[in-house]
Amino acid sequence: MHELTDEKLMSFVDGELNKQEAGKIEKLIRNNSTLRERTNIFRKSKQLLEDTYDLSSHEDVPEHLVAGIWKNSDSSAEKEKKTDKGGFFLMKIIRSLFQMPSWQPAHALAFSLTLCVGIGSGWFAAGLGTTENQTSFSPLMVSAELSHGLENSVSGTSFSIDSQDILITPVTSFAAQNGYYCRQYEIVGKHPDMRNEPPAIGVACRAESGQWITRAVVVPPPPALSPPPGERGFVPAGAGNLIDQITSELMAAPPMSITKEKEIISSQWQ
Amino acid sequence: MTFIIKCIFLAVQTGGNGSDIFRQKLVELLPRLRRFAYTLTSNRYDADDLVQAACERALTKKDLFKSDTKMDSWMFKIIHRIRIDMSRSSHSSRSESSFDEAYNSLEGGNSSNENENRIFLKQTMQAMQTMSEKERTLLALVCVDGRSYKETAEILSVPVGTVMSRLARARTRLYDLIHKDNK
Repeated sequence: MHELTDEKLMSFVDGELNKQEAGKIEKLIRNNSTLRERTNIFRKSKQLLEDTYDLSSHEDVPEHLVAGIWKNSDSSAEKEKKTDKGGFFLMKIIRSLFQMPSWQPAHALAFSLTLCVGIGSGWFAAGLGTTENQTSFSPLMVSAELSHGLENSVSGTSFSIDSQDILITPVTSFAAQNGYYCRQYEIVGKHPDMRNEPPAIGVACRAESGQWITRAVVVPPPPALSPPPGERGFVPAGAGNLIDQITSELMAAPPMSITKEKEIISSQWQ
Repeated sequence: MTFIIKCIFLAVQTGGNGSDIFRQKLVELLPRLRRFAYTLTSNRYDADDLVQAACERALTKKDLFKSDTKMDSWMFKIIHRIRIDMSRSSHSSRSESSFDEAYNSLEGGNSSNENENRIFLKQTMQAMQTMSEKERTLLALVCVDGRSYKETAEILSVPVGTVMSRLARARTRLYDLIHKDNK
């Protein structure tokens, strides 16, 4: 018993012990109220701190912090021109990224970099596109609101991201080949000028932390470049094709039914 | 293609544009960096200033970052060092009454649960104010961010044993501080 120092008990609470050691301590704690009380100090102190400071992790990151990081970035319109090399090269890269066997942090980064941006003028106005001086990075990718909405909304149900004046509608959910869940969603601007524009489409996947990370966003071109009305459904064929290719590269199984989706949402995607 | 879509693959298509990957990774870390800074300062404005300073320093020194190491640990280390520099250069701090800011932000709740939560939040923040910078950093890394003892030891450049003994003391003290008011 004398071996059970505070450090040992704390290590037990923090999951720092191996299975064997943890098992031994668990047994001792079960039969000793003093030890249980000591252990509680470490358990409760952790819980209190998590609850108190968790406030900040649910807030959206202030834009000036993101902008500060991208200030003087190498990304520019020049690079944008250089990187437009057509669908074949695009899909080759997507395929190579999505065939990674497991989701390592580096892969998550690579995926999150797969940001496809169209040239829809309205979307630029909404801050989702890129201009000569702006980065192609979209604040949408780190939005806690987006993550919360994708975590809790059934497909077909829209939720609003007020900070960006957009509506998001999850379209479908599916299990990806690496075992993670992903969702395809539509983005529509709430501003009257953008109501007639076709929606942008995104694909986001759920990381272990529970955060939804956008892997790709395809923004349609301005109406002048779109096919004539009647020739398209809810999204121009090209954008739809591209996002469909990305989605099919990711999918391990057919999209979930709404019933299955509801079940999985209520079990917090476990 | 029926129409033009410009796809920008940051880094990937340019054979790995290190600068953009670095920046993107920093952006992804921002929520955690803010939480870490907030735990240290207990003030949102100070926390954001601290994160901004850390990002600026990281961008200036990005060549020193080894790509095979963890960026979050590196950033926590930078924040920790900035805090040490700040405490050396100035003893003044806005965080004296900062818990009020967080406390006040929760005003408006009426249920007894909400009230109880607010009281605990206030007590925890007040207790944190009385802890030393070393203790706050340890608590922020292990209890709030969930870093392992080994990672924490590496970030703070101290032995694991030191982390454990200081952390155990800090948690006991924090618990006592919070619960003495409720006895």
